[in-house]
Amino acid sequence: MPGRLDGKVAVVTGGGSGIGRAAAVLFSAEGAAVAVLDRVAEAAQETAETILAAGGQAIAVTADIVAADDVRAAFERVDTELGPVGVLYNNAGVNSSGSILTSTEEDWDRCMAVNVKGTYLCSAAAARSMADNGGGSIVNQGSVAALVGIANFAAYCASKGAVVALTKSMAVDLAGSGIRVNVICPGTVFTPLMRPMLAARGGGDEEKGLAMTVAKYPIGRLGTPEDIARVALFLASDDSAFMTGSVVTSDGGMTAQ
Amino acid sequence: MIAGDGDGVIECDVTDQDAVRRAVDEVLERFGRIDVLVNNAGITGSPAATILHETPVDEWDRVHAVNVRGPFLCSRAVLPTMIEQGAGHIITIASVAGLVAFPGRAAYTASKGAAVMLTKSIAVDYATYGVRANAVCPGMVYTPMTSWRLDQPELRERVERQIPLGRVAQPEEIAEAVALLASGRFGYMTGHPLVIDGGMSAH
Repeated sequence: MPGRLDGKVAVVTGGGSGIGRAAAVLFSAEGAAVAVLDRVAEAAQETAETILAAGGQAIAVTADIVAADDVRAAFERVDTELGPVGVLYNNAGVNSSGSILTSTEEDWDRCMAVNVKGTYLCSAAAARSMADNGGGSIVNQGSVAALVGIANFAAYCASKGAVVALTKSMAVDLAGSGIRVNVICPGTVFTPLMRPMLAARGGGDEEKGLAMTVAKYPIGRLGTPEDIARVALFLASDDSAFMTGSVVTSDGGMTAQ
Repeated sequence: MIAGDGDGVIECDVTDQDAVRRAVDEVLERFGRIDVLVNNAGITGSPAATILHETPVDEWDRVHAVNVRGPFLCSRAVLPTMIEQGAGHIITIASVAGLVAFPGRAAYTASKGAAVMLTKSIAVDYATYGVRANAVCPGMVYTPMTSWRLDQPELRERVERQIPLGRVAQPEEIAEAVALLASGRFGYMTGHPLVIDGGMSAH
């Protein structure tokens, strides 16, 4: 059966865990050669090996997306080893904690750097190559935190709001080069990243924090990495050929309320 | 009036409560269940339905009857079955006009805004029954509803200039997205207006 990403080279940032890992595996199953980019070398390696073991094509690329030199070197390696990039999933991201009164400046800077500047640097690197090679699809990771205020999540909300606006800006600027840009706004997805936050929300009790979080979702459960990866695949593939600048929520109804 | 012809075609005026009821009954009789409802039927209104104070009242009513009352009646008729099944998906074809106003199309814009919020209301109220509701918001699509305009080169060029991707959509591109939604692949998506507009509303 032909895959939805046959012949495509896909870069997945933060591909070593959570949604990024699920997307890397799914993109490979749909025919893409996948560059698993992660700041943590072992995590990138583990995902790449999982793909190779299943008969797919993948490389592990260690890079910190806030460092322009790292990003440049990473995309050069992808181009050399796999070919011109056709899909970029800007999945890598970090949380923040606290309101603007209780969070630290370091927390703010880190959140903005990874979630916004990282998306910018990787997109610029990919878009240059895509523009020279007939186009491509960039999928950004937003969040419901870009659409509604979430308590004690100030920097994260601001950073994801910036990603949504950047998506629309990129969509308008890059359409003429055949590059589509869309953003997914997931609701809470149970990933390793979530555990400390859930525990904090439940006053130290992770289970309680989980129940409190689920209560905000009409669908009655949190998302899974695969839920979001399937939406990313849709946006990465030609199935969404007429979509650009779209903000796609996959949030169990959370922001419909 | 309903005329089942044995080939899966049921004639039905979606604004007619009794006709919708009979249509849904017939579907249930034939198939025993309803997993997906696509509220696709819609109209833009006659050329007279332009800016608000010039829109004839009967055109306003007609547009809202098809675009809002229709999805309401059809959803209302299938929901008891979906609740009983513990599963179902209602997909309403709204429009990007439900999110940003189409110039000179007050009735259509308002009706599609209502269709988007009807979708969200269903999503929130029926999630616990396993029923999801999503909307698709196409931009400009080449259909019998728009071909009169798009077949005129100057008008087509004016439309395409508003679309970053530089072209209108083909009906199949919207249909494929509806099919993907209906497949259940996006199981965590509910209450979402899926915009497929070539970037029109991004700027």
